[in-house]
Amino acid sequence: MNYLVKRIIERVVLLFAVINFNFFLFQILPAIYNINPVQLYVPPTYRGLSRSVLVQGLEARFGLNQPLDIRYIKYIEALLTFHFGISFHYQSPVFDLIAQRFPVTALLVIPSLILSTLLAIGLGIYSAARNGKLGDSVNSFFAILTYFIPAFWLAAIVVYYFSFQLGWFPSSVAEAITHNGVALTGVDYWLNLMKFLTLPILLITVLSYGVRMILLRNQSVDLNNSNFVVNLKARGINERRILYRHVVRNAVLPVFTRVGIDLAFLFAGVVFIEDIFNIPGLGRLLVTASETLDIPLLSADFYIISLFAIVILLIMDLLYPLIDPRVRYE
Amino acid sequence: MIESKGLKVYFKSRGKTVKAVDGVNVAVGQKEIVGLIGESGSGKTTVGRTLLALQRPVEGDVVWNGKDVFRLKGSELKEFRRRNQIIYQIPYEAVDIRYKVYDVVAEGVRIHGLASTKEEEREMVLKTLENMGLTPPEEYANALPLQLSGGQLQRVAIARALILDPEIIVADEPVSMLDMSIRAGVLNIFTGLKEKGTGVLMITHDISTIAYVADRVYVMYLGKVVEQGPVERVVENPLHPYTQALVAAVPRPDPKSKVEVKLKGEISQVQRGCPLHPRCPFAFNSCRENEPQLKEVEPDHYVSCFLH
Amino acid sequence: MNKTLRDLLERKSFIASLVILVFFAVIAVAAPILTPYSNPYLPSQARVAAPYAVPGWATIFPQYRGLAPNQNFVLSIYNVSGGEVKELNSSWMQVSVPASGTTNVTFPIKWGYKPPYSFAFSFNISPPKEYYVLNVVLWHGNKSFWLYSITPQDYAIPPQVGVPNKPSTVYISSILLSASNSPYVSTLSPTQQALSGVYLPTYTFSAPGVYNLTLSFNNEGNTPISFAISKPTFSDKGYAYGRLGTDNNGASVFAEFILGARFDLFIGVVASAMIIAIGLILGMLAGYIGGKLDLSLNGFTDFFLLLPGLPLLITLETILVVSGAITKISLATVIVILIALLSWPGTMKIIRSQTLSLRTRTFVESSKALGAGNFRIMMRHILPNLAGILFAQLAYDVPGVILAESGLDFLGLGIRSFPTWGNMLGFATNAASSANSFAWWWVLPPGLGIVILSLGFFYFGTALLDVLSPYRLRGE
Repeated sequence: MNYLVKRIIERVVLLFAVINFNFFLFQILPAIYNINPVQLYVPPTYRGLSRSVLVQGLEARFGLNQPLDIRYIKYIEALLTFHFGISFHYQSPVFDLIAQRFPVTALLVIPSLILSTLLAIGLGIYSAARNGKLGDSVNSFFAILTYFIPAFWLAAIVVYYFSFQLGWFPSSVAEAITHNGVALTGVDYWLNLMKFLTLPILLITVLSYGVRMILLRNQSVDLNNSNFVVNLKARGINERRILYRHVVRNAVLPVFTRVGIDLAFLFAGVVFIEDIFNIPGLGRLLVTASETLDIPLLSADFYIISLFAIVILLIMDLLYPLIDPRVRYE
Repeated sequence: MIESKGLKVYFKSRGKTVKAVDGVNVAVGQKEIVGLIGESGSGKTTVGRTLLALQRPVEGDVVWNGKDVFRLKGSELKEFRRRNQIIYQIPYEAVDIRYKVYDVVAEGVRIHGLASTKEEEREMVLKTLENMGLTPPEEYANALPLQLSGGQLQRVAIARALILDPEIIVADEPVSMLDMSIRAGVLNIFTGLKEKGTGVLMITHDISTIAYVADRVYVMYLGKVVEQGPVERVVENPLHPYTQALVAAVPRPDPKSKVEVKLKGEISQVQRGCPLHPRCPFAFNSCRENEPQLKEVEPDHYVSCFLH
Repeated sequence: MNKTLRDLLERKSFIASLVILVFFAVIAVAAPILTPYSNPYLPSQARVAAPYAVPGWATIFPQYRGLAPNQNFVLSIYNVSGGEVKELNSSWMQVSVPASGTTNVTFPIKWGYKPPYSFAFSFNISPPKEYYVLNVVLWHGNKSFWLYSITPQDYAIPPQVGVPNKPSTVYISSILLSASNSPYVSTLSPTQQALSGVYLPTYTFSAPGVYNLTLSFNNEGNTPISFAISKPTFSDKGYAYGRLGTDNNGASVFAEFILGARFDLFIGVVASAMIIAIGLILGMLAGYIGGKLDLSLNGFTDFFLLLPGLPLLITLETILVVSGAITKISLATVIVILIALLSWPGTMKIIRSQTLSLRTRTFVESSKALGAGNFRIMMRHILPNLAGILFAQLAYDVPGVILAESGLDFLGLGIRSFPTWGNMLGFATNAASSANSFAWWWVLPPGLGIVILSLGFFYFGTALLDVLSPYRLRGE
């Protein structure tokens, strides 16, 4: 079978499995445990109505009183049409909520992804060129160190030091995009917003370059010991030239795969940075939804993350043969 | 007696099908050494592995004492495994290097429950090692595989097979990784086995090894047997151009050899016709269109070539 | 095995990681010996010193110089005026007060610090039958503070003390003094009275110097009377405490840190063991058996890899815990199980690929040719050769578990009732952003603990992987 068609089918099957799992998680599992999510939202009384009446009213509004099979059909319908309904917690359309926050998170994730990849490639080449020497050891050590630094911890320290102590950066979005209580507009708005985002972007960069750098370094070192490189060396080709033309070129490929996977998951993964910097992004939206069992928001969010991941993986499937001549479409 | 009938083994790799073995009939009986010769990529190793049911064919049967080996189950399969052994080309890869030589050799004994006590097991292992020329056996038994030389470890691998007292041994290039000086010693083990009644399928790319030990020989090219017969006839009077080329490649003390056949290029798949036709110096139109079948040219000597 | 050990000990990174792991293991095991506190988050174990007290050793820095440590000592030097004191034994003394006279017993206190957070005096007294007044006065230079006044029980003006000729304890603490029981406090303004616990220590022990505690015994009768009293004990809670200071509740950060280490190590190792168990079973079966089983197990794993981990963890936790669906088992257990159930896919993938690589090895086929069954081959040849990668994965998974658990705690969705490194960080950073104080002694240890312990496990695992894998599996 055609490679691409096969891949697309595989991915769609996977997405379908995720959709069903989500339905199980958000609708069937609470039912099994006899939890009515609506009850988390209902006050004891409201305008003289009793609690049970309120619950019934909410259930009718969100369609939770219908049997599961009908809910399932409506659920699939919602996912296909992107009409995800109204959030329990925020009381506004889920689609709008996600659409509002997506650019905020994108502004955080995309620059840091680019920066950290550049950093990873630069430092990775440095380490590969000095494999086994002190420079490599120190460089690799710091990269590995970044795997284990809790983001919220470093973020809290950095915010305290740079924003509160030194006052180099605004400490909140509100402070950043207003001046003497008046909201900024135009260029000023964006400049100040970016100034505010500098710190979190740098943090994400530092905390995420490590995995890619070590990947590049290890790939390069392995390639350096491979027969084809040994062969090139035996032919007396300049080592520097071998490193750049042959080793790094091949070693960078898995790094790009990694970047794609990271892109797919970082949107949900920067929750700690968003939390510390008080940035209203997708990560916090999702965590709030999880805490409050906001079923419409959760279903939509999980679906969009999986969809996004699958689209990215598919794009990579498409691009890979273009970058790596060893992989063919067939 | 183990015998294959119309054996076909195909491998799939990235959508391409490689016909490693394409309709091969070979037989190995008791008390004979059968050579299977061909260059790398000819499918000879796959034939050996399929004969021992280590590889499933897409078509064809392997029959052992009247039974289809791919349908064997439970105790029958165990008996089949015990009676038919394999020896690999690279002994370092064929044994689990975590275990001591003793445990390597004893593994089969334990699997088949051949020893009722530890002492009996020990005695069997040490005796087999000694028979293989590994003396003193106690010292070898305690060694780790990586502490032995290639020749010593190959003897250990042979000991592991022989301790089970097999009827048939498939020896896949058993000496090709060994130094010239110790090859004869290892090959003599096989001739010794033949004397005692064991059948050996000797897989090799080296026709001089075959000439030295084998009784009968099969010549394989691209998954097919192209010539077969008693070793004297095949080596002294090779009929197939491929066999002629193999023989011609061996340096001889006698400079008056008859034919000097040289093949062109390297082994490569063909769409149709004789598998050898792109390389054969004698190829004519029919070779490119039709595939020759094995036919008996002289008693017991078969060849698949339109020249005969 | 000796060779393996020798190989390991030759690596500097292994030695370093071993030192780290042993260090944390020791403090985890010895936690009950190292700290008297079992759970510093309990109110009864808070306020062991001032909130945000710096570590004791930090007073060497100029900005913390002179901060008072916790102290507790018996005032044994004294001088007497207007009466007689006889020592009964090393701790008790008899004070004889002449008729219509006053006996002052004065105990000097050498105070070398800035004001403490709180202070207290306590002594035992066995009063006579007759009427008396005992005033407790603290003075320094010409400033004096009439802290307390004691009269016999029958004259029911508070405060009162004990039955005649029977010892009872007097405990005078800056926290408990108020306008109703302290003459000095009643002279303060109403706002200061309300916060007397805060103001008293700064007024009384305002600067380093010699302070005097005078016990003034007044006999208003016509006959001499005598008291038996114990030498008073002075104690204070200061702004410098222990090895790592205190948190915003004045609880010992050191105790929190080592109890947190204990918990994090426990949860890390237990959850990793579960991850390895799941990953090993699924990975080895998929890799060794192959075919349709591999296809389905691998697809199942890919599916798990596609789910967003943290939100899923939180959702499941909310469903199981917040809604009360699971009440019989502790939150920590639920979290361990959930983390393990959501974290195995990466490990499974690695074990599967290693098994795939091992399965095609000639020695596996040769074992099969000898007649070994699948179970035997898996147990005798695949599993032992996976040992390196298993130990390495165990070590690699621990940091992941600790980070995930800490993240939950940090967000306030995990464990809150006893210390973990995660909730220490959560509480510390919350406190840092609400107050404008950054308690580095509280924020740094748990974070550094996580980083250093994780590095320890990482290098430990890497060393094991290198040494225990006779077949070079990496980079293939």
